Amino acid sequence: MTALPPPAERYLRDLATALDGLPDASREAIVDDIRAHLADAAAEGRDMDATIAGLGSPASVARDAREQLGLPAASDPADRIRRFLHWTAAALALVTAAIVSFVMPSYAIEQEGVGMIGGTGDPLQTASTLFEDYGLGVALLPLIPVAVVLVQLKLSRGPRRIAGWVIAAAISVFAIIGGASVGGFYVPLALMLWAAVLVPWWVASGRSPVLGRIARLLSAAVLAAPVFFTFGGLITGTLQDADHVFWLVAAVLLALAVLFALRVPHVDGIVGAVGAGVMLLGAVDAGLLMIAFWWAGGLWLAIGASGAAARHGMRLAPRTHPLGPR
Amino acid sequence: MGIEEDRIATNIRKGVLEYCVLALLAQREMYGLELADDLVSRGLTAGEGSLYPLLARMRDAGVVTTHWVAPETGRARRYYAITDTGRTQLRTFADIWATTASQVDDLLKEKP
Repeated sequence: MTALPPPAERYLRDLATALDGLPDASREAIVDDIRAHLADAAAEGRDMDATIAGLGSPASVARDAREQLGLPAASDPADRIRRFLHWTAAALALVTAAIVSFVMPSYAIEQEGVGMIGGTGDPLQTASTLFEDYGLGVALLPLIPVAVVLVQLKLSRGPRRIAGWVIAAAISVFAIIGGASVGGFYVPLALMLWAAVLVPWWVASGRSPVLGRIARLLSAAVLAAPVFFTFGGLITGTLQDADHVFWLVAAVLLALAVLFALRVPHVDGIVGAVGAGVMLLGAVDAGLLMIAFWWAGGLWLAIGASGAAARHGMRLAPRTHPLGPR
Repeated sequence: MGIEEDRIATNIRKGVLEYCVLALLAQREMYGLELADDLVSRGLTAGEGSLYPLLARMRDAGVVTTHWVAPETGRARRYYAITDTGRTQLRTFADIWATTASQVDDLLKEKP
């Protein structure tokens, strides 16, 4: 298979994405045929842009294909992204609930005078959890956000969009008001829920490249922030046992932030996975630094998921083709 | 072409494109671009891209088949050919078209 001019390859990639959800055989047949169409046109020395314009936009070919095959029209890309991010938020809400009820001590966390990562013999391990103090009934309360997120996923598209904003605001208010105790654990969920409304909004509003680039750079800066905080801790002496492992981890995290800014393939997923890992590590092993790990990890998870969603959105909703559908 | 004109033309072509493809393939087998060019030159299709989903469906339905032809020089191409089922369908269409077209013509000629 010979390579086609870049615009043709891009068209085929966009087409393959637009045909997502079709049976593999049909999808392959259509993409193969259109590749052959473009290759034959190129071999005859025809103008590539005109040939591509003649085919119509990938979205219109995909619409025809769905109609021919009797499949329902593809769902709106912004809505698919919203669902992806909300499912991630639902999973996060579930983990948060489990930790709030069964892992975290039920009294406010003391955050001062902590000097160790992976603290040893921390007193909090001996404190009782919400479940132990109040029983299963109360321990189930933290599941309410899970239920709310799941319910809004079942709503129809219009109400779901509005519910997304309302839930993000509600969880944020709760995270702030209850910040001193349980609420703080909902900060990552609040971030995730904002991501679940802001990224789809960006896609639906035409994916401004400028806004996208600003968001990515700001996100990269935010990704690097927790690392710089620990540097600050080293300088002021709050943090003392910086060994080579610490420096290695710091270097890897900073490198990931830079790669994120550069929009390197797959970096979004890696950032999100690292975030989830840091959160879990915080929950099981960070002792008094639990909330710091939880927030930093949550930040990474929300940003990684947003980046992945935004990238997916670009593939699903390719910018209107230069020559447009005729 | 005005928007209204465009809409009417698109709707009519949509219904008959499949049989135009069959009619062309009944003359000889063709590869994709050839078929697309022919249809465009006859003004039978607007977006050439819509031809390929149609061909995929027609192949599933068994009215056309594909096979590769590798010439001595140049690239191998996938050719489309009409099947017996396709020919039967084309004959059925031709009958219906003849009746319908003449009815529509007569109707349009009627004076109020």
